[in-house]
Amino acid sequence: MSTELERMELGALERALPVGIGKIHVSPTVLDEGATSKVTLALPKYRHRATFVPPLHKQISKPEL
Amino acid sequence: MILIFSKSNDPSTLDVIRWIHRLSDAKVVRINADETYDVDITFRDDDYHVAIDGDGFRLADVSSAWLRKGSFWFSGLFPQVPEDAAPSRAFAQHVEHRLRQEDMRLREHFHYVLRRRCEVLGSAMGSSPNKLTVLEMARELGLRTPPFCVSSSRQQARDLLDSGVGYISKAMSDGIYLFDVHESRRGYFTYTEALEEDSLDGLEPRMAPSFFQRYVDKAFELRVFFLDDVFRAVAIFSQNDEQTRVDYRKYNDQTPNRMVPYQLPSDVQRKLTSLAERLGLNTGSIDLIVDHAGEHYFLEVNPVGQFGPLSEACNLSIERLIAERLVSREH
Repeated sequence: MSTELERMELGALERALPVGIGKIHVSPTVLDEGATSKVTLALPKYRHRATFVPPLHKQISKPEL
Repeated sequence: MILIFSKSNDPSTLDVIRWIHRLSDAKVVRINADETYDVDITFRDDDYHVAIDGDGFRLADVSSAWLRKGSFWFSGLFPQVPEDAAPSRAFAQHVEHRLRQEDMRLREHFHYVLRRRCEVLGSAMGSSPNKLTVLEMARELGLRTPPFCVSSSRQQARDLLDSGVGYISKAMSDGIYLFDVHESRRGYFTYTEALEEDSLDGLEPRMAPSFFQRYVDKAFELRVFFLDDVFRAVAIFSQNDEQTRVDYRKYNDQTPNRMVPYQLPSDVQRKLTSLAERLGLNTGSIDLIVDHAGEHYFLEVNPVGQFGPLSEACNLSIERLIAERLVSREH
C-alpha cells in the first residue's frame, strides 16, 4: 500500500475524546508551498483566488491548473 | 451575474466556474470564506449593494447563487474589541458577543434577500443538518438505516463490542479534517472506525458521549450527488480491501477501489428526494451502503460534500450539471 496512515499519539487527550474522534491520523506528507499558497487565476470575467490543496496524503508541488 | 460563496481550497468550485465560462458569458463573482476582502455593504432601496475590493454589484444583478462552502463570507465587517480598550474583560466579552449577534443578523438578512432575488443552490451557511436527526427522519420516510447508539458509558460500549454483532464509531458532527498549512504543515483526519478492543483502552467509566452504529457487511457503498431530483451515483467496491473496508477515504493508492456509475432504484430515489425536501436541501451528497441482499442503507447526507473525485472517476459531469443550472437564469 502506498498510503500508510500514521496514528497520532494523543495520550490523555485521546482518552478524553469521544470514541469516534479519538483515533486521529496524521498525513505523513508535509504540505508544500505549491499546495498552500493562494494564486489569482486569470479567468476571463472575474478574478478568482484559489488555494490548491493536495488530495489526502498526496503532495502537490505546483498548482494543478 | 452568478455569485458563488466558497472557500479558496475547494477545487470543485473552480471546475464549475470553468464550465460556466464555457457555457455562457455570465460574470462570476467568487467570494471565499477564508479570505479577507475590503467590503462595503449597504442595504437601501430594497436591495443590497456590495463592493468587494472595489468591484461592486447589487443582488438585483444576481441571477443565481451557489452556497458551496463556508458560513462566514464577509469577515472583518465588525471590529474586534481589544481587552485593554475596555474597562473590564467581562465588558469586552459582552461587546464581542453583541457584535457577533449584529453580524449574524446582517448575514441572515443578506441571505433572506438573496433567496428572494434569485435561485440559490446549496445551504452552506452553517446549516448542516443534525446527523442523528437525519437518521430518524430517513427511517420515518422508509429508508433503511443501521441502528445506532449514543452513550457516555464505557460499559455500554463494552456491551456493544461483546455483542459480536459489529459496530463502527464516528463523529456525530463532522470528523476532524484539517490541513494545517501554517505551523505543522500536515493534514489531520479522523475516519469511521470499527469498534475494537483498543477503542476502549484507557477510557474512564464515564466517557465523552460517543456515537456507535451497527456495522453492515456491505457488498459495496454508494456516494450519491443530487441536485433537486437529479441523482448521480457511484458504487465503490471498498469491501474487499482491509484498508478501505470501514471507510473508503483511507484510500489505497496502489490498488484503488473500483468505482462505477450506479443507477439508484426509483423507490430509493423517491425517498431520498422526500428526505432532501424535508431538510430543505436542493443539493448535496448522500452516503449509502448496499448489503449482499441488495438492500440499501442510508448513512448520512452532507450539504457541502466533495463530489469532484467521484465525478472525475466515473465521468459524471457533476460540475457541468451545476454550471448548467447556474447559467440557466442568465439572460
